[in-house]
Amino acid sequence: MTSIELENVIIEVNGNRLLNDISFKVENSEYIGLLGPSGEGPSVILKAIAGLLPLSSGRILIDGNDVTHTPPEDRHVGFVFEQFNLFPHMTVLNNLLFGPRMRREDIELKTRVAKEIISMVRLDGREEAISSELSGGMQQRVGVARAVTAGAKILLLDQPYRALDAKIRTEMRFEIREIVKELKLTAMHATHETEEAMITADRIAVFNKGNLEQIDTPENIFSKPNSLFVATFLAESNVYESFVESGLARIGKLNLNIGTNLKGKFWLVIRQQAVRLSIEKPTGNNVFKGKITTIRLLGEFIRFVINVGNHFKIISKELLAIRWKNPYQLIGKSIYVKIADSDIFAYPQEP
Amino acid sequence: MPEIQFFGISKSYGRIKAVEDLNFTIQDGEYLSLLGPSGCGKTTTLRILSGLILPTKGKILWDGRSVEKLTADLRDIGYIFQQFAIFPHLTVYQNIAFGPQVKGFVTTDIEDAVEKYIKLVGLTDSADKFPASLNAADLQRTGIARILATGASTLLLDEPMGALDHKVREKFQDELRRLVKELKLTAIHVTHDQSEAMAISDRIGVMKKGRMVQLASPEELLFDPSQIFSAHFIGEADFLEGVIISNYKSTSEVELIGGEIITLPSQLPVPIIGQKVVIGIRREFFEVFAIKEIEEQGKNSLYGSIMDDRFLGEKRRTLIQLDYGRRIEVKRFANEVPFKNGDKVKITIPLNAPFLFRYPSKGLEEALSVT
Repeated sequence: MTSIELENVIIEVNGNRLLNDISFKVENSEYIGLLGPSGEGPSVILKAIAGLLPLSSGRILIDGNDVTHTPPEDRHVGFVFEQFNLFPHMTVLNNLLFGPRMRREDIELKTRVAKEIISMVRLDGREEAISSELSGGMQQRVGVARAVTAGAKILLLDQPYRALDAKIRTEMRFEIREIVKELKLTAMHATHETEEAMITADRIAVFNKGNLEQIDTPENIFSKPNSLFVATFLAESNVYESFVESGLARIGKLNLNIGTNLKGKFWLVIRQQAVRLSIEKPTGNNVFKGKITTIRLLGEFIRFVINVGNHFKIISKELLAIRWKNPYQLIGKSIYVKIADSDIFAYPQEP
Repeated sequence: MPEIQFFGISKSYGRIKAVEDLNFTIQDGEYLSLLGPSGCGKTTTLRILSGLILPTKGKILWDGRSVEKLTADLRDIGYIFQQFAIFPHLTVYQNIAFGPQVKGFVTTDIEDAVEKYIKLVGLTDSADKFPASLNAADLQRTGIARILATGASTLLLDEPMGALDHKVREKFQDELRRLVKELKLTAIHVTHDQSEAMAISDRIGVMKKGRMVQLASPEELLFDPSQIFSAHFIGEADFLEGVIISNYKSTSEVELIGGEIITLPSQLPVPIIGQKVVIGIRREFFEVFAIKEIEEQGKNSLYGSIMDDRFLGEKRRTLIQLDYGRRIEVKRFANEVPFKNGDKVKITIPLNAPFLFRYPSKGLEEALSVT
């Protein structure tokens, strides 16, 4: 039962403004993703909530109580870092009981609690395992369990998957969310990877140089980005300068139908994944014939660079499909490009 | 410009086998990557190549000559690490000149070499800058230019882009590949990043537990992997167990545990009827359709109900419980129709999509495990 509120939070260190007037509320049991370039806003917010970094001005409230000047140990906040920070030679159980022992709590009671939590994070039977001998994913779960055993109602996760091998990361990326939901914790998770935030969070807050750009559900923030920064940070994009008039956007000699009544100079953003390719000519608006100049296999995705005429270049990223077998034979071939009106975002250029 | 052959190379530390029975050839002028989970032996392989460590068993032929007769120096190797081996008190120019100086080049040759390689890595305008004022990518470019200026013909690269920002990595990959090809070098590159390996390499060696699982082109690993582990480790795939029930002229049929019949193009050697097999399908290769009621069993189709369908931005991740209890995960285009939990669906498998594997002798779980 824990909510967190930030009110006009400003943090300055040596004259650098790390957070610029941030206000938002995290509801009880909500999972918030903090997304932004590495080392910027997201990690700073976590440190501020944990009490590891003093505010220059503003307030932080936990459950309605002002904790701005409360020492970290009294905030009931658990911090999970990229590095696991476990005692490597201790057993899982002893890692969980380390804090309670230091605080001279009732160890018998805490042992029962710890065992229950170990089972909730699906480490049953690993109580006596030496923590450094567990897999990275398991160690990360021990970290969560330790925070909860210590009484944390709020879990702060700072790039928790970063140290894990890519393959293990994809396999376990749903786990922390499930555990947080099961334990009914309020969580904030800092990352610079869109997909990680999309998978785990109920709402995502996007930061740019200490400013909160937008906070919304994953679906909304991805589909209705309110700034050029959010639109391009969330997914690899084509960005064009254009002049917009009567529902058409002019990019060089090309006209794109964008179905708005905006007028003036705009940045147009078209996500690479929204650029659809076909061999046969598709029907509808915004269909162009182009030539494939470059192909890049990315794994689950394949990327095409396409020239339309001599001056318009567009990049398309698609999920890999059987039809792209022998991809490099397609270089130099003609292909149709189609862009749905609703996949084009327009942002006014600075006056 | 060597061709490098590995014959039965093993390296043990006490009872721990770091690499085991490696047999492969690196072609002259090839860009080869070694990819695999932590601890798979990829870095050990690179260090054996460099001569930094000696194999316990086996031999390496370097252009047909046994390497024991070639000191590390004579192999003309340049080793590039994630951490930049750059002198902070020397300028970019001086750093690059350091390699040829140590090798005892005469002054005019040093100047020629520095001019050439500083230009190739695009740092001519930064020649007089000190490392402290360079970004990570330019530091690594300086390191590469220095190695090249010594006349190295084989580059060994150990996570060379590990310290670079994600945004500059692709550009760096293209530069590095272009450099290796232009200068007709041979490159062996260790990475844990699949897309990096795919973009930069002619072939990728997928390793697991000290062994080479498969050495093949990126396209082959994606569209036609010969091993369960490479199908699993590169990208994501679902694996279903079944039995061969018939062979026709150009196709074979597999009956899955749930009774579905999957037709796939025949392979050589033609599988034996009754043989236990595993089919692997990339999660992005499935097609999923909503159905109103139970249809008559269609060919190459699975049936199930939606457990979760999540929008992840650039794609949808759809978790499906098959009618006989197994779960599969499917990746769909972001703009495809969303499903609700419980929706009944039909999953079709395109003819060329499934990979056919012999059932692994130690079981499927062991074949898929990354450690």
